[in-house]
Amino acid sequence: VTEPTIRTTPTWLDGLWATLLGVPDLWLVLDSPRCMAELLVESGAEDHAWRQRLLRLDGHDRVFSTDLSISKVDLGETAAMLARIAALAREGTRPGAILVSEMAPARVIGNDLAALSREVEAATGVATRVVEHLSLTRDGLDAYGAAGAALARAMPDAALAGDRDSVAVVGLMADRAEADALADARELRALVGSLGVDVSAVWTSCEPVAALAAAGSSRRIVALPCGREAALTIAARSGAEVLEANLPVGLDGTARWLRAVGAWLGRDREAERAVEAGLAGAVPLVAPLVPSVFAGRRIAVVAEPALAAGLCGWLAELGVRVEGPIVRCRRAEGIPAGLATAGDVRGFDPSVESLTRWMSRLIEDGPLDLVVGSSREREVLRSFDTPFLELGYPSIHYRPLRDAPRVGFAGAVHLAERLANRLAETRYERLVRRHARGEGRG
Amino acid sequence: VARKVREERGGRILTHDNVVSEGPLAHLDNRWAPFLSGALGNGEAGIDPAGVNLCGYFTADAPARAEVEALLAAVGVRVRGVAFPYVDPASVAALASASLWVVSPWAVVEKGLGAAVDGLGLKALRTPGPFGMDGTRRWVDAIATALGLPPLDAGRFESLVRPWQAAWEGVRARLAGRSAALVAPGAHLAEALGPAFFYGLDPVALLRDLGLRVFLVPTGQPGDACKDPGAIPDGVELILPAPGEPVSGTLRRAGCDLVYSDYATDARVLAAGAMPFGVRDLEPGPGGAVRTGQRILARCGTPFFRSYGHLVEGGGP
Repeated sequence: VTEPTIRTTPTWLDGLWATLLGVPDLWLVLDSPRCMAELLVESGAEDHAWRQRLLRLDGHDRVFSTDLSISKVDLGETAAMLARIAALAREGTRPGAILVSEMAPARVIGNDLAALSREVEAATGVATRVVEHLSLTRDGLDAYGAAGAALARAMPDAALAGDRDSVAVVGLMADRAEADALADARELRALVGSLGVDVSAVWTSCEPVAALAAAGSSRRIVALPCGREAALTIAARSGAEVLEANLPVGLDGTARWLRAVGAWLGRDREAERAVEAGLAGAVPLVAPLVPSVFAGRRIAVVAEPALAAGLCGWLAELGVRVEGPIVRCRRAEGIPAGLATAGDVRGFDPSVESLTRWMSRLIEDGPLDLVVGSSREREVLRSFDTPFLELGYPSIHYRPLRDAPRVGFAGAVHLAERLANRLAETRYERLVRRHARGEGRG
Repeated sequence: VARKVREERGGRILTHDNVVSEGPLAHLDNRWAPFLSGALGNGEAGIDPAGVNLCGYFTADAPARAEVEALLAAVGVRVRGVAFPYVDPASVAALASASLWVVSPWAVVEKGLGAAVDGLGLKALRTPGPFGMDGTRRWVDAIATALGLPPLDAGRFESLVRPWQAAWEGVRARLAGRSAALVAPGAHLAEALGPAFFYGLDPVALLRDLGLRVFLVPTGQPGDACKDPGAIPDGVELILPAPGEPVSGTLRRAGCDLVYSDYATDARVLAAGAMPFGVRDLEPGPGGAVRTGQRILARCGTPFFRSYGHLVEGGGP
């Protein structure tokens, strides 16, 4: 830690919330003071996802706190929580799996998670696994990866048998059951399907645990960046082969992704046909926007590592001058070479201080048309008079109701549409301001 | 409104519609003469022998105005007023004091304002606009010469444009090796590439000043372009269409980065794997030359149609 201002990188708990939002029958037991757990769920997950609630007024919660407190810690008192979760699992919607984790303070004073996990499993009869806890040094993506691995360990042995010819895609961070994440899952399924193979599962895709477990039956797994731990855990149990791949973002990114997966599956010709068809559908839609809207624009990007490279590549294809990206992860290890710094500003783990300094430098260098980032960067940069487009976790002020993919050919088109409309809106707003000042009549 | 003001307050009231687009200007062609006649008054204003009015090159609030005013001041020329497409209200009273009306040779300007200037017997200079660094210098020199003043020497010009020089050289260096194509009817090359048609500027000179290779693709009957070799500007590379070849095919064969088009999304250009550029990308003045280069550079740097141009619909003849 070199400077003390608040970071916007998703926290360890954000990663757990995102996992829960992407798997509707997954529950979480959190060793924590109850009020803190509720506050953090509400300020993180519940602002981002409207169609799911992790805490519900009818008591059918999906996050359970041990109600840890200094006064009770010596007693190891979890009986009340166990009774409640057992009753809900018995009487309400039965969970597909339960994860057990803890908040940072509990690391010092909290319960033994392995023992707690055994107690929860005994009380509910539901597979329960501990998410290895590293909340002080790791970020939301680490948590998502660790939670995915825990889910993979919870997968029943019976899931490991079945149709071995299918392919599973593991590591899409479907962080809310809304039209962006749902469309991403469908696009990934369609992309792999276009190679002429069956897709057993897309992790996570807002489908229940049982549907995810179908990944265990596949002989091959495409592991996306956020799901490498989960994919390797499944593969260690099932013997599947794993291909590590990036997210297919942008036209060129998607074409290269399809060709790589196709080559790995021995389906080069199918891949080529799929690329041809995908481009033929997407290019005529995007083409008019390139000379009239995108060429020469200057856009700054703050994004998760999995999205950053693909998004910047897509913007460059469109003729945009890209600033950044600033990558939303806690550690520099693992992010693509050259992204660790943006000028003299740290290129990862953005904070109030680093983002403000970065933005000031960008504006000094010339007009900036747009910033792309999550609601957190938007809040930090709100004092700058630069248009913003929300993309990533959390997106509090952007809620698609219809298909809004980010991956695949359709995702490239949709991203171009969102960006172009935001840029057009900005252009109009600036025109109105100029006219109000009496400028630009000619 | 003007009549009421005249009745109530007296004095001389001039009316002129401020318009911003080419369309309405056509309807205003016959209004320039009475307006200018009124603005000039009875000759009571003193004439500034080094005073000029700039007509049809830029609007009064354009960044280019301050840029070229500084250059003109260096040769002793004072800008009294700016006219067309609208008259800067602040300079109406000063129009009468100019000894020279510098008028863009663009036909749209010529038809209304240019004709009015001539009709009133005002001294006028027609010269292509100050586009590009060389073009700006030629424009300043032409005005100075018309007023009998010595033109800028090279050293003085360089010192005056020094604020933009590094950026200009940088843009030119990055544009080296890039190419732009102009498509024009082979039977009318001189007109199509002349300033009367081309917004009052010399497109070939500007593109070459930017450091671009310039291709010329003549359309129409084969051989049209060769009938008058004198109409082919110096320094352009002629790319003749093959018989029956669509324009997009010829452009693709030329392998150019950019093609001039008045349509921002001209499918014939996109299908050729090139980016269109247009008059909106071109800006007068030395700073405008840099900004023009930066816009052109951004368009050259857009790879989309090099990769996907073959998938663009509507790239036929």
